[in-house]
Amino acid sequence: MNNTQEMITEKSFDFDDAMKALAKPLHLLKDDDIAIRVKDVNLFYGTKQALFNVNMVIPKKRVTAYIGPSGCGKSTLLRCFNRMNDLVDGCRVEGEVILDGENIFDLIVEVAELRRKVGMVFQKPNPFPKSIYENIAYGLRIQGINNKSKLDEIVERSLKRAALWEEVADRLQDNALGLSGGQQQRLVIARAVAIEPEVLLLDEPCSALDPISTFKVEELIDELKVHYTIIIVTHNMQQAARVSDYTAFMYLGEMLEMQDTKSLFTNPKDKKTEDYISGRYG
Amino acid sequence: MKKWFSSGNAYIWMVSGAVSISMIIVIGLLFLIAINGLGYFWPKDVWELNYQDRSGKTIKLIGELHNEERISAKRLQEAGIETPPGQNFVTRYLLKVGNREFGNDFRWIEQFNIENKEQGIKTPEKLLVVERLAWGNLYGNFVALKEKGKVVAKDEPGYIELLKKVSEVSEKRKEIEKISRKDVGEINSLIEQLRLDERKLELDKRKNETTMKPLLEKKKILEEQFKGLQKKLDELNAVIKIDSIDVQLADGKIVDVPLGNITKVYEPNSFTIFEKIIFYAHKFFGFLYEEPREANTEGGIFPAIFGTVVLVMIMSIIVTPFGIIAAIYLREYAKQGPFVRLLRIAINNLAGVPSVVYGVFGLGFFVYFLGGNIDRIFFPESLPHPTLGAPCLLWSAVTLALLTLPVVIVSTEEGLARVPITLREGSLALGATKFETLWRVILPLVSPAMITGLILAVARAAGEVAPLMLVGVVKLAPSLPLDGSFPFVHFDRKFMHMGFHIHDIGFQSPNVDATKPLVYATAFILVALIFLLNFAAITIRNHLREKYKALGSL
Amino acid sequence: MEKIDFTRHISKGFNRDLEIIFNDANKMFKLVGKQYDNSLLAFFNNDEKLSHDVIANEEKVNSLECDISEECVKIFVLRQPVASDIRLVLTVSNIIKLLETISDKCVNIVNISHSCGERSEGIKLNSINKLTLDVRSALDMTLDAFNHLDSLKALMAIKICFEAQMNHESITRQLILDMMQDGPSFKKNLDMLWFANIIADINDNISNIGKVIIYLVKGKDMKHADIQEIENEVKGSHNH
Repeated sequence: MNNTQEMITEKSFDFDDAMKALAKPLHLLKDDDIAIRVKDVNLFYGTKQALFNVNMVIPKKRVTAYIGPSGCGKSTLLRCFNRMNDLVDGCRVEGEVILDGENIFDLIVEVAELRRKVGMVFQKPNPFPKSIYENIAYGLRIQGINNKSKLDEIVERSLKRAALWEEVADRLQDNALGLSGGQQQRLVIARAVAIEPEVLLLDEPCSALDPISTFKVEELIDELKVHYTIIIVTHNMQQAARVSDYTAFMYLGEMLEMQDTKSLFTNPKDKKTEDYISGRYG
Repeated sequence: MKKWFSSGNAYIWMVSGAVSISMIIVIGLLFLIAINGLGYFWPKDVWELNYQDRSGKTIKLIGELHNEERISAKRLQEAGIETPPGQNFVTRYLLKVGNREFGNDFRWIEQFNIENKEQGIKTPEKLLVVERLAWGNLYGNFVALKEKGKVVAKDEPGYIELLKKVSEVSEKRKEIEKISRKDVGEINSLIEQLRLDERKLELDKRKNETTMKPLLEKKKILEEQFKGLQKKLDELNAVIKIDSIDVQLADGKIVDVPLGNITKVYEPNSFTIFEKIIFYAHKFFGFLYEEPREANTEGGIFPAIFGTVVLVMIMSIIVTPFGIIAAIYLREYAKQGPFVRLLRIAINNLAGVPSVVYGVFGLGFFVYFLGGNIDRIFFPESLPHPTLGAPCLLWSAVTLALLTLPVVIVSTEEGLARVPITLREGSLALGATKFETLWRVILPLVSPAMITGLILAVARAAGEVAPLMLVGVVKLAPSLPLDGSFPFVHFDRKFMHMGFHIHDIGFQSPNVDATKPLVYATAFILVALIFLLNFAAITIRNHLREKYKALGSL
Repeated sequence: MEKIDFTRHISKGFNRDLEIIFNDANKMFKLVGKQYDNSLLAFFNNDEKLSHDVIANEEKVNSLECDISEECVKIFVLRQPVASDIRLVLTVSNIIKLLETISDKCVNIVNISHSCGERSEGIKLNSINKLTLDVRSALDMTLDAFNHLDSLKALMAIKICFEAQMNHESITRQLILDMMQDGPSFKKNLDMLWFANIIADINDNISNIGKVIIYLVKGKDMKHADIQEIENEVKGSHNH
């Protein structure tokens, strides 16, 4: 478990090395390479079943994309990882999701703690009606970090990581709601990474943004994957193709296929996957 | 014609017409209150005229014009007054002649019975108005200033001397007031405390020589102090009694008016505009910070204002946390099932219960049951004299809090419902608990709605009369509920309230004509007070709204 | 084995675009096949007219290749194809290049037919005949494989090409031996050698067409695989 208070220094990495390390085919992944294991997950909203026997792995420090038609369960599955489905009345989950050797649905797991490890960015940017600084400091203050110099440092680092520092460095005390849509989304990402999660969940993060902001956010995702495991749900197939290392196709609550992105988009195994990504009637 | 209807214009006219009429009525009402109320303080001319009364005698009258009306001659004839022929309607004046100890202080005089009719009304400059502590106003002519019964000054210089003396005496009176109220009051309460201690000992069956000794010693000291104060009071009172004036009344009689009884002396007919304005300002502010006199028909309404404000504040302190916490529970924590819906229906119905019923409930449950039991458990020494077991400030505040609780709950709930769920999700996704999310993100956004609820509650509480009559408001309270002596806020005291004050002077007063302008004036102050409270709250709310404007309507 | 289905894209325009390049590729196949037949006939019968036809049709082949090439670029840019769609477009792109090369070679045949004298007779002619016929059938088979998305047929075509290649090697050896021995028919044999080599080049291209079709069907790049690997791939996974 990450201790944010200790981990302030920038992790050193070689960008070129990271670029050269292309995604390995799924079957070659070792245990160390896996961040999350999903085992036999079935999800019910009351009596209606939304996820059927989902089994998959999420590779560590890679971008995994979920694609699929509307209502196929990709957002539902995503929200399992940080147990946001707990907020829905009548939602019941069977099966296991293993993160750091622990099943997140165990009774002893503290949900707030889980959500610090697994951060989430939503479709519509939702900054708090506070200043830019306070938005980012929010997660830290909740953990008890109130030391001004520490906060300053983390805020700067997070904004730099979110490629937003240049644009807002001189107006950190301004209200966050005054930023443009693309900036707000990057702010929200900065807010999420400020608490140093292990996993970042992005639920259609660009669907409310214009194309240029979208590209900026995609570029950001590429940089972020060096530090965090990223799972992104997207309706935009080209985005999934551009941004992800692994892509999983979901259909009617089942995970039909998951491969490294290049393979899935050139040679999908399942006909339904092929039809979907080629834009054909099923 | 049909086209005009179908284009919707007809309905626009209808609606805007209705709104305009409503607004006109409201503004008109406020105007009426303002004019009548504020007009009360303007110094009126004092008339001197010769009037033929019923018996045919011609008498001289001095007084202020209070009211003027045109009535049918028939009515006067029915009352036994002869009217001049050929006139169906006559004008008559209500003249305030004061001098209550000598007869009615208000008289209706018909215009046709005045010598020389309108020309016969004179306003000599030297007519004097004497405002007194007891017996109301005196109208007449200044004759002389006396000391110990002996004349020391007359006419112009005497008048100037008189003015000086009046302010001196006022000062002394204030000091007397302070000593008798505050200092003596303190000593009295300390003595009372000793008595209670003694009673406590009795109840605990510990009363004996040793335990009584310190009490008796303290009592002795206090009694000494008391004597000292008494002496001082006597001195001051004696000083006041020295001076007096002679005033000649309309009928020629000369009366002696001790300065100790005089609050103000002036010659209104000689006022310049400037002096009139200053007089007005004095009168107006005096109204606000003076105590009432003469069974609430004279003087100021300060205790009522004070009581209203204190009541409203205490009620706010009680209702706000309860209302907000209840709303938060209903919306955030409770499981949204049939029980919660039933609860909401019950809360909404509470808002429809007539306020008198709250008063009765407050009396029965809070005052007698709760108060009585509290007395038995905590204040047994004072029994049979009740502490909290009688109508008082505390139960009034609690009853009003109950009355306005649904309003606060509903408006807070509305505010909570308007917070977008995306903010909640955002906060939770960062690892905040539900409580942290509420405290740090949601409640700041709901604060405008909370203050809205408070505004509505305050407006209602300041205006309620019926329930308060049963649970703690009185016609005349001996002391303020908030003063300098411990415990500073006296929850067990009865207090005065503006709404009740209006009711009292309007309907319970023996002297209806004297109090009519007072009713208007008090109503005006009440409206102004509520307006001020609302204005403050609205400013705060707007400031908060600005802060969160970008989030959409709140 | 299914035909390539153009009706199933939600976008009708996309369906149309794919249908266009598919049909044009078919057209080009047939055109090049005709070029081949004509060039052989022109070579063996010394037919002037047919020679002219072959050279004239070369224009058609080239312009068709350009058209199809542009269509493919258009589809890449405007439709962002993925999976089998992109494999189809890439395949068509490759096939037309290979077909165009074949057509070029046909023109070469026609050009050398002028300078050739009598044609050789005998076994050599027969074996060369067989070579040309095998190559022709290989071309037909690839067209069939393309139209039916049949990797087995493509495999067969590649095998035929492989056989033909063997055949060509033996013909070459024989011709070289003949050239070393027989003085007067040296030129004839040389001509035959040239001819055989051109056919061998055409054979190579057809073999590549086959491999490219296997890429279209199986999704695996077979450009540099040997025949055993290709066989394994085609026979091993039978999903398409």
